[in-house]
Amino acid sequence: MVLLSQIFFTLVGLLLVTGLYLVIAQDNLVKKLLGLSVFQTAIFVFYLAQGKLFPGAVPILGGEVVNYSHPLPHVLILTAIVVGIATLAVGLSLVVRVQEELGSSEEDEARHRERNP
Amino acid sequence: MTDVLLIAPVLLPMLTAPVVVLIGNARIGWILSCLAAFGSAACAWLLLDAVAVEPVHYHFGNWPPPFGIEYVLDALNTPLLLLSSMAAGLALMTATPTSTEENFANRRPVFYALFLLCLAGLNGILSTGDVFNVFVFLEISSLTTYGLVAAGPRAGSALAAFQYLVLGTLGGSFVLLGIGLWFQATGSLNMADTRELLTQTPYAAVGLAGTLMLMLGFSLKAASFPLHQWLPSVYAAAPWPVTAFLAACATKVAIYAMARLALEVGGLGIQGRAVLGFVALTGVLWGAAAACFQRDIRRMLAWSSVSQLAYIVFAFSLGTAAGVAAAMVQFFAHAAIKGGIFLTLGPVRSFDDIAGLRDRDFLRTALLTLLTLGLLGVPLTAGFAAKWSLLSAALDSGHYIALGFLVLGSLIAVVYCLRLMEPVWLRSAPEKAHIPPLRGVFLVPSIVAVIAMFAVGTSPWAAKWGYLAAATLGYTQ
Repeated sequence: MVLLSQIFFTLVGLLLVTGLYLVIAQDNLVKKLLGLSVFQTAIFVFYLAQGKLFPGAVPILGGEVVNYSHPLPHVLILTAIVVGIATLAVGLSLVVRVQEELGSSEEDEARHRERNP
Repeated sequence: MTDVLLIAPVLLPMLTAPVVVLIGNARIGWILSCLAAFGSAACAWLLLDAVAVEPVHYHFGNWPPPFGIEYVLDALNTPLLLLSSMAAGLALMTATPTSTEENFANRRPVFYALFLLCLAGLNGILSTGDVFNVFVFLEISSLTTYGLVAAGPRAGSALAAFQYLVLGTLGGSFVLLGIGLWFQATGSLNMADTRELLTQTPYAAVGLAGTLMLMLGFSLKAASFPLHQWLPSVYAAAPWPVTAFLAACATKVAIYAMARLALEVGGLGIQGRAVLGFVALTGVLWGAAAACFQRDIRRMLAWSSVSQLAYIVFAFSLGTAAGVAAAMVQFFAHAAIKGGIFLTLGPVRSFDDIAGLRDRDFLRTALLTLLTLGLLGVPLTAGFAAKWSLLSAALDSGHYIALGFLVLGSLIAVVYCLRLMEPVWLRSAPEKAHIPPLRGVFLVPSIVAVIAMFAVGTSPWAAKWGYLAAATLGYTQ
């Protein structure tokens, strides 16, 4: 099980840096937001992985259960997912306004037009 | 009664926000939101006596900690609650229903609601004793701030808000990751409980990783050097009541969270503090130097904020009672001075706008000059008290090199303060002035800021709360 969790957390790390790379390297604002979502999702996965035990049953009393999985990380991440969706929505609507006001959704181009109207 | 007062600074603005939107009248909304902000400030004020004795707790749903969520008000966060609510109230006063500064002037109740929710989020970060609650409130205040910044009058305000959104969300995500790592190491979310468990856990490395992630996340949110890139463009793009509010408390609340979580709960070690202090000292110089070269007046003041905020981070990094006291004085000093300057400048954006101001608008000139003297650190003003307490705290800890950095930073500050004063006093007024004079309701916040500046500068009030806060954090004098 140690091996499994190691593989799992390595994947989380890979997702984290992929998201961070996209945010930094992409010039397009929508692609930046996608990178941000990947980054956040990596953290969600990290939380969810913490709660699972092998063997671990759903946290409902009863039956012949040895171990219960921890429900709290799931509850926490439900909140974080909602926050992530809200952030994505605000971000996309800001991209729409940037496109309307500056005529471009590429960061460099938009910044150039802002400085030289 | 104390129970109600304890949760009021969060609940009052949060519950008033939907009411303002539902009523839909700009004037009623404006009055209601000012009342809500000042009401929160009054509640924080009434609590001061109680928290001076011992921290006050509120358990939600009567669930005892560490299982339930609790609010803990102590000598560190209650004065800051007062500060943030007062700053919000004064900034809201200048966002009158008839001003044309914001982009969505036709949907003004939404603007007030966002402002109140932002205040609720900041007050939540200050009040809560639960680590995950900090993240939730951090995101509430951030999401609303993006909206407020995007309401700016410039074409680039949406772009500035977007850049802030990307960096702010990265910061928030790092905070979330840090909380997750702490949870992995301790299995607890309550601050006091986590603090205990982090010292005993066999997974100390995981705990340290969490502390560092939280440090990184809050540094981004606090625009603490070298993660300050978003701050100047946000200050330049936002409507001015929002800029004043952000300058007065949003970044400071992030510094508070950093101090409370990374330094107190996480117990960052002596090496970590040394690195933090050194980076902050570099930030003091970097921010002040960059301020001297800005062509936009708000960008100049924003860079000055980067420098001034670094003073607070340095004060906390000392890890002594005198350091916490210096941080507390600088919290109030910078909020009164920088918030006051932004509110006094109002719609002013370029140096040309204030050319020959002394002939056109003497009241604004007088207030601006007094506040700039405070920024400079002239005796009797809060700026002097803050720098004095910081210098003596650094001396007490034997940081003689730091002394050089701090004095040099103050000397560079003279340059940008002079840049602010030169057009006001020495240039001649242009033919046609398009900045309306400071009158009526717009005068009140500036005058309050000046009075607060002299009050903090001449009375030991802020330092007293600093020492009380240091005692609750466990530092001895």
